[in-house]
Amino acid sequence: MLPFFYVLITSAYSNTLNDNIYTSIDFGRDYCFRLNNFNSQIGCQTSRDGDSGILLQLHSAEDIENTLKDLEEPFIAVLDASIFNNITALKLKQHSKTRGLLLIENEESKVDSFSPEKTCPGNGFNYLENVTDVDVSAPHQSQCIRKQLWNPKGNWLSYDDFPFGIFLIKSKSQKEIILSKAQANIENYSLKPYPLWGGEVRSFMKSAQNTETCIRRGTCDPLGGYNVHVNLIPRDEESKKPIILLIAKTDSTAFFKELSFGEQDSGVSTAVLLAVIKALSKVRDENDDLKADIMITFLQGESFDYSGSQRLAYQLNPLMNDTLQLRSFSLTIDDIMCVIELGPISTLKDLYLYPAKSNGMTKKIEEFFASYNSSNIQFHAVEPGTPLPPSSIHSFLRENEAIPCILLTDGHDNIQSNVFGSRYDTLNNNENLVSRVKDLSEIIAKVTVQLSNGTGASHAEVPESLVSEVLDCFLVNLNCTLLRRIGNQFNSTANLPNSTLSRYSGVRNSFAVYLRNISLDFSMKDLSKIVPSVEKCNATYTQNWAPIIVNDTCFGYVVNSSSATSPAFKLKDYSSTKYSTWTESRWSPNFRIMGSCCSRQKKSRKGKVVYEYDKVPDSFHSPDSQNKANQQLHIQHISERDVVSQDLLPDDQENGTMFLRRITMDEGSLRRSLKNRHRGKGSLSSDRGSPSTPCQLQKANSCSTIFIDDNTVSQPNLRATLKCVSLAIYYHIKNRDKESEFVDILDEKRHPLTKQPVPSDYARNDPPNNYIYRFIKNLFVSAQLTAECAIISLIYIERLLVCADICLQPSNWKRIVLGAILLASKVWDDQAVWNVDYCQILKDMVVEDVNELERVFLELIQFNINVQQSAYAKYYFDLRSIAEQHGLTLPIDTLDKKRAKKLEARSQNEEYDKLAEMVESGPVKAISLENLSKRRPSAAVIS
Amino acid sequence: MNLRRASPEEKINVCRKYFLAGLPLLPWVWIVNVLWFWREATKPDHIPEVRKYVMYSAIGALAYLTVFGTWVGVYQSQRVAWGALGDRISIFVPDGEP
Repeated sequence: MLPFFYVLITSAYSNTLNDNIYTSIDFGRDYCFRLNNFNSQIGCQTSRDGDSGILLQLHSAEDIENTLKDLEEPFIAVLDASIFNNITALKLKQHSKTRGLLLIENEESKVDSFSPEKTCPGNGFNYLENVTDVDVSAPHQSQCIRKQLWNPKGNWLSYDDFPFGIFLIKSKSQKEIILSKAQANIENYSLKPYPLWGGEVRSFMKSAQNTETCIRRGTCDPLGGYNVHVNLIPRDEESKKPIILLIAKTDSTAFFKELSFGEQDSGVSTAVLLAVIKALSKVRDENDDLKADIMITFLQGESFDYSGSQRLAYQLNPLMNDTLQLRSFSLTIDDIMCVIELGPISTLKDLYLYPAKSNGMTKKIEEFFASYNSSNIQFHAVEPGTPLPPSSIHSFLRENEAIPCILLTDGHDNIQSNVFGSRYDTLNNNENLVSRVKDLSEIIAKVTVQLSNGTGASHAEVPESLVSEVLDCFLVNLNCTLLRRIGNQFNSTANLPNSTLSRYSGVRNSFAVYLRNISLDFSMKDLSKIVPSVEKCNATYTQNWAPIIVNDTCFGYVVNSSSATSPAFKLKDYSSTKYSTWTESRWSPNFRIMGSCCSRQKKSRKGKVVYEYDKVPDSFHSPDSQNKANQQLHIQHISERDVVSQDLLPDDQENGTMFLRRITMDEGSLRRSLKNRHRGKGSLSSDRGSPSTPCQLQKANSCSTIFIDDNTVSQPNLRATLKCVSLAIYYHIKNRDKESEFVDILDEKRHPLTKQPVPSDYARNDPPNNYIYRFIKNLFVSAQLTAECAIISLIYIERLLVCADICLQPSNWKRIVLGAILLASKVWDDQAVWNVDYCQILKDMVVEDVNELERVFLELIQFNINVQQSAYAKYYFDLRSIAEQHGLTLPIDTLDKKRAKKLEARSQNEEYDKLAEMVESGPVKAISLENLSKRRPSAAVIS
Repeated sequence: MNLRRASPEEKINVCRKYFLAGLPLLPWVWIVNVLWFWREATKPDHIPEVRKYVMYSAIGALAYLTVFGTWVGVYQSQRVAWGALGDRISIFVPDGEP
């Protein structure tokens, strides 16, 4: 997954040749990858097998010019990150021998002004602009449709396509390694012939050309994430109240996408909007009749041509077949009274109000804001006719230009920030940030209430401590008090990463989950007045509120989320010029070679984040599975499997079989088994003749007569084995440790085996032994399975119980047993029964269900389907022993000539095989081959 | 088969079989036929039948290879421009390039 960089090193203390030659460097997430849109690819790409070249340190643009002039060897440039800009990048890109670029991050050299973004963000996707007007052949600056440049510092670097990999190096040790090698190269460069230090970089991107191509080939995924919508009260659709929509963009971007901190860009406005929710909730709790509905929406994907707001506006358009389905109500664009957007507002001092179109409503909003002017925060109305800066509002205007919209930002004529769209976009020197955020959020809350009711709201207040907590979470470290407290409150077990939030919206992100949880906590309302008791905290009583129980109190909330993927993907118009079409390439982890796997293994064991972009399960794209989004998908490779868990398997040599332990747990059974054992030995026990267990005479072998049953290891008797296996399962269920959680697919209620619904007490009543036997026998007889399969199934069942850490329970035993039998027959029968055939046996099952069951079973036992001979034998004999204990022994009979022949035929095969093996392989120098010549067809038909 | 010892009937028989076998667009069979019987077909006392089949094979192979070569050239240079069609007629689409 992670690109590795190898430095040639001759003296290292390791074992393999590879370790002696290479030092691998783990770049973490700090490299650039490829994105596509309707007509271009941007980002970086190495060749499939990696690119190598000599390490060459370059110090300035002139240095690049001079050094590269007559350089003939392929090289990997080492550059101080502060001098990486469009000029140096262009020089390197134009040189045909550039194979990679390593940027050394230097904390001392502070970069004040660096914006790899466009000079005109959202170019072509703003209101009254058309992307087809962009002159692609022209140099970057003149690609802007509008002459006014909102981000004059922009150098478009993020939108360039580099044919080599670019990596950022932050860790001190990595810097030292690379710089020392590069330094040594300078000294040795004049001494030809070399050796010089070389490097190899790889980050191979699968997508190419544009979104249409890569979607067609399945090599990229749409960017987006989720929009989060917060309503203060459930909307009554009948009342047709107008809606005031407060929005803010929450994502951001950077050259190295995973380092999109965007604190000035969207961090502060997100925090303000969260505080506004708190303030408005306070107003709501004090005074319940707001004349307008207020909806707060956090948008994602806005940095990539407004995909989030485009989707929202598209969903609000009633003509489109994609309505915004929020909990218990839907919305259309006509319900919206006005849209107020918070743009970049990090200075929080002079804020400018940009109306989309000046009219009565926007005038009113401007007046309201102006009335709150103070020495701290000043609101300014811009002169009429000023063009609207790049903002999410443009997407709404493109759907319906009549909506009154207003943008609040600190940029006048152009953006305030000098580092827009770069990893330097962090907040550092703003004094009174907390109090300013508090002031602004209260003002916005008051203006909103004023808009709704016509009168001001006095109690729109946010505690300063809460504001500081919010800022702490979003600007400093995600592992913060607020999120931890909320996590505990909602019993969420998700781990919070110990890092600053990356705002790159990406294909999936966990950011929306944090936003949702915080706004849920801020906006939930105590419903104990309308709900009779905490037990009745459910949808029937809460009147359109979504119920949630926190600290034994019933609360209601209206927080929804919807996909922020661009409508272009909904419409399957991948070359759309109307909607955003950004996609992220998939990249293959196949460059994980040569010893580097070990570092990855350690990483995954510690439970750190391991992204697997190659496969994105569908569930990540659906809004309801949001909570899953922060559980990273990690598919363990078979070689990485923990060795420890292997030792715990019940069929391991050292461990006894599980069912035997379960049986001995049962005291009554223990006594009985002792009894039977005594009896088996033929000794007289004190229990003999007791009325409850009538004594049966055991036949004993003598010199003249041998009594024997038809049950051997190589040919177990089917009926007896099935009886024993069902007994083992019976005891597993009866003496289970605890009721444990297990995956849905094993639950009989959610995936019933019969059409009739399972009885309500299906999870409580232990099935009787003969019921289990009938169930298994039915399967074995119908599918014509052999007795070995039954033993193997039992091994698989016990493996599953250990690996998945579950117990056989009345609710899951049927499906577990079915899965095990299915698997055993597939693995061990030469002509296995198909899954479809099981649907014939269990009439009401569908084949998809069987397939899924098999898949989950295999995954749970970690694809470990091998059964050792010893394990099989152990199970066989243990099963035999329980058969004896429970009087399940087969009728034994005298060994007559016919049966002896049969028995001989059965065991014969094994013996000859063994002998042949000895002849072929053993160190035995001489062996009689006489016995081999006796090989003859068996006298009995083995079935 | 040793051509020196084989009878004319045998030669004609083999040559015709090779020509017919190449008919379902198998130019390599035709080329083998041409290489094997070329001297036989061009010597002064050639058998007209053999010469006929060798010439047909040579012309067929040449024509087929020309058509095939042209198609490969067109496909390689135009696949990207064909877009979706180009991907559909390809068995293996390379990753990471257009």
